[in-house]
Amino acid sequence: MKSKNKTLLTWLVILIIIILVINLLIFIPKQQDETIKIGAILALTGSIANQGEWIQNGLEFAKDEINSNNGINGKKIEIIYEDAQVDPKLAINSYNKLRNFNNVNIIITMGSGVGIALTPLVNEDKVIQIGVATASPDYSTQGDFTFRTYETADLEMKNLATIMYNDFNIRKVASLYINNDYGEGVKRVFEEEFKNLGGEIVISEAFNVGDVDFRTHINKVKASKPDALYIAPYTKEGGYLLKNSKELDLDLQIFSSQAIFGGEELFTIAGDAAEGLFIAAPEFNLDSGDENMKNFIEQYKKKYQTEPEIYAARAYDSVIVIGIAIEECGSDDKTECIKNELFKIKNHQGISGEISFDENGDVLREFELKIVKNGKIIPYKDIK
Amino acid sequence: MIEAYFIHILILIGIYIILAISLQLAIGFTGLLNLGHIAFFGIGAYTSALLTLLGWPFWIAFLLAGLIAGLFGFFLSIPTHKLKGDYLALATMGFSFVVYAVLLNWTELTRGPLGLPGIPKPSIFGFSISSNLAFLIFTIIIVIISYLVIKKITISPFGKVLESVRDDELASKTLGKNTFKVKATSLIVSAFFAGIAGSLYAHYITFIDPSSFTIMQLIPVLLIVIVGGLASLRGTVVATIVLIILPEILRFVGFPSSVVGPARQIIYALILLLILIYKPKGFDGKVQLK
Amino acid sequence: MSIATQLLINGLIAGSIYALVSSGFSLIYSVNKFIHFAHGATIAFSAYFLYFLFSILGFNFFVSAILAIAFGGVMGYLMNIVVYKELRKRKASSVILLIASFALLILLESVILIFFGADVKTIGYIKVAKGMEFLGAIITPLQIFIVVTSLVLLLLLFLFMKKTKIGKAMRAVADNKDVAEIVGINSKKIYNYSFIIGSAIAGIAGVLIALEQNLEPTMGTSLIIKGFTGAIIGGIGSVPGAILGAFLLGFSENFGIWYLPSGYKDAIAFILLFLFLLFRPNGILGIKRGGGKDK
Repeated sequence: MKSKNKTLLTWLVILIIIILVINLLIFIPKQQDETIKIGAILALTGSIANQGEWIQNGLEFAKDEINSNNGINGKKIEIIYEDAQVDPKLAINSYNKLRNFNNVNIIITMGSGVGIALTPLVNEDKVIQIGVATASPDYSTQGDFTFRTYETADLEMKNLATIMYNDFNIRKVASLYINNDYGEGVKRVFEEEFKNLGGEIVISEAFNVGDVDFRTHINKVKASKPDALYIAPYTKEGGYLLKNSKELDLDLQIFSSQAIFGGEELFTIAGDAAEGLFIAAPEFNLDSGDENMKNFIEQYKKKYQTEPEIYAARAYDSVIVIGIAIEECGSDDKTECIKNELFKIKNHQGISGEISFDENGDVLREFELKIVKNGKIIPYKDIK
Repeated sequence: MIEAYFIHILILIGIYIILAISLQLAIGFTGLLNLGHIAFFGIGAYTSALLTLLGWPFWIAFLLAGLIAGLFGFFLSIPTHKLKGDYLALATMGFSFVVYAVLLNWTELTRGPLGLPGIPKPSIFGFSISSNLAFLIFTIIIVIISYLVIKKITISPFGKVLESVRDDELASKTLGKNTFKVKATSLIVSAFFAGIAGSLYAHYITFIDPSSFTIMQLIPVLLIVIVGGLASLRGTVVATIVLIILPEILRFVGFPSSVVGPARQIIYALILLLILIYKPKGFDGKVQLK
Repeated sequence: MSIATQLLINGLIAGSIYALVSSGFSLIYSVNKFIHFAHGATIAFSAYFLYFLFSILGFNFFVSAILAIAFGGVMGYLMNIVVYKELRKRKASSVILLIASFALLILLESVILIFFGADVKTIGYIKVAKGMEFLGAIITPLQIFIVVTSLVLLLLLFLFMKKTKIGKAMRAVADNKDVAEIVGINSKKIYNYSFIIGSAIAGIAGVLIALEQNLEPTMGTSLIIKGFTGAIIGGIGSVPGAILGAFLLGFSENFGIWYLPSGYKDAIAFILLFLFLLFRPNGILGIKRGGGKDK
């Protein structure tokens, strides 16, 4: 090598060493014992960033509440956020970061693909994973360290299929679902149940995360002549699907799975094409009258200037139950103990509903069909 | 936990070294601008992942990852034999797109965009490579073997033939060399090692999906090959270390992760442009891109 | 509803968009003799500039659109001056220019990602409207506008290349740069013109696509691959060929995914690209204009 290059190389080596040393100094983990650390791998950007934001609100709310009441056994909770956009690859990266740099033993995740990809890792490392927006039936079946406060697809989709078949007398359904573990998981449960009831799935096609052009899909749906359309999208894709449906004059009742929830974004994209959309959702009544609930809503509104969505409530409940388990066990690294304590939780009155973890770590909820009326999402029974 | 950061970076460097020296064999030594190299990486990763998920022993899956990737290297060499310059670049790029499309759409085999989660950690003859440190040692061994093999090829008489094909294929043909065989061999070996690197990658990250194997992922590798200098294996290794660690600056500037990814790409793209304009021979290169 | 007509119309719409991309791209290629991948970034930048002016700053829509188109032309010009000219000064081969262009594309798209974020943005100028029936298929007013604009533009481009002085000079340089210089054409100026005009067309494409399909940071890469495939199918050295190829691509995609799962749409484009590069690199019309296999 020429000597000019040699000097350059020496400088580069020095630069590299400086970079590595600074990184290490910055990231030397702080004293272990001071706080209880919870990692949160969320979608803070991307197709369901709105849900991610609600979840973050819920987590922060619970954290502040616990910390202002002297924490857990005197220790404060600290939540460390990572943005993985429901991409399993990014989630694994985030997981490694949280483990290596932040010494985290408990993580909150959203997204079925993320949950499924992290499951072998958390089981191996004995890390607690709680999914707060994780629908796929494949998530919790492997290993003991995975829990969720989101109802499994079984609940929603079986109920939806039954209602569509019995109450709406639908016999033939066209099915469009998002091409990832979430969409694949929920539509599988739905289609199976609908067929068990005696119905027929005339067409079942996937679309990609981030798709905005559904014209071909809709044309195929039209050609298959169904009685209704079932969709399992995220907010963005769902919005464009509805928009294209209206433009192409689809004229069918559309039933969607829960993940289409995204606050205003759905209406920004679809406009009044969203009118009349049915959404399969859990019951979450803000006027339930419960004292805890009223308090939560009031405080939440004060802090975030908006009413809480169920996503925030589930996230809140997750932190609370983690707190209960840690209180019994003493510290956040005793994860065997925490796991056992979580399984012991039965009939805990959470904001999102009653929480009891079954043998898979799943929870049950009450189902409620919602409909979009005049730009608002309301329970269907209110207008029946 | 500090070592964890080091180990992670070193494993990545190891995987990229293998990717880069195998590409260097094709571009720098044989003059084949293979912009589809990432496809071999992906084929190796998926082969190894699928076989081990089916229960096959790791060492077989690992070798098959290389062999099957090598086979595709052979397939690619046939139709591209007569192409040169930008047409070769485009055709190989097109190959990369087609492989990506297959990985994405052949869902019965690959699960498409859902990817393959839970790829098992390697275990060789009962000895499980489960800790990251063990994986790093394994990676280092593979890197050393790969480097020695490729180095041996380049300094052997066959290596001289490769370079003659690069410099003047017509002359080489006139002297009686079967240039197709030469180029095919180069692509096969290049693809084989890319496949091996793919297997390492799959078993380290434990999750792969088609989006890890697009043309975007080629940018750092291509950059390393050019910056290191064409036909210089030593330069390639140095360039890998420098270019993998450099964007780590972004980590301590504290950008949110949605900025770190694109910022990394910007750094790479910028360096590539600057090198192409001001120092196209790279640092230790003997020849220039033609 | 007639399926065949609907597919035809969908193909026409897609083809019109691709034709806007591939015509500008092909113009630049035929004159400059290298693959200007960063053309995709020009489209994306124009689209995002429109978004910035109209949706963020609140300017009048038509003013914003005109500025966005002009911005596209400026971007192309700058890319030529800042990057390509430097490389050409140093006698860079078309391969190096290709790689540089690719790096430029990645660089610019990453910049968009940082400033605007990864999520899709909408230009809320056209309200959600029901499409109109037309020969048994549905098409929205915007889509009709796109098809018409595209055809008109391509016609204007054709006349420009045939009749105007600059157009003829461009064709001369495309045919044979050295001879063109001998007759007094300033090739450096022509390079600049080709970039300005080609990129302005990209700007128009950006504006229309922003309205019809909305914006995301990777839109440039996807579109340039499609546009480039169209150009290869039709014959990359020829602008009319590129346009023809673009329409053929649009039709193939839409008819193809009727029979295949819709996820295969991009796969169709990739496979066509690969096959043409291998077996008919001079395109369907076999036009051997500029750049060839044997360099």
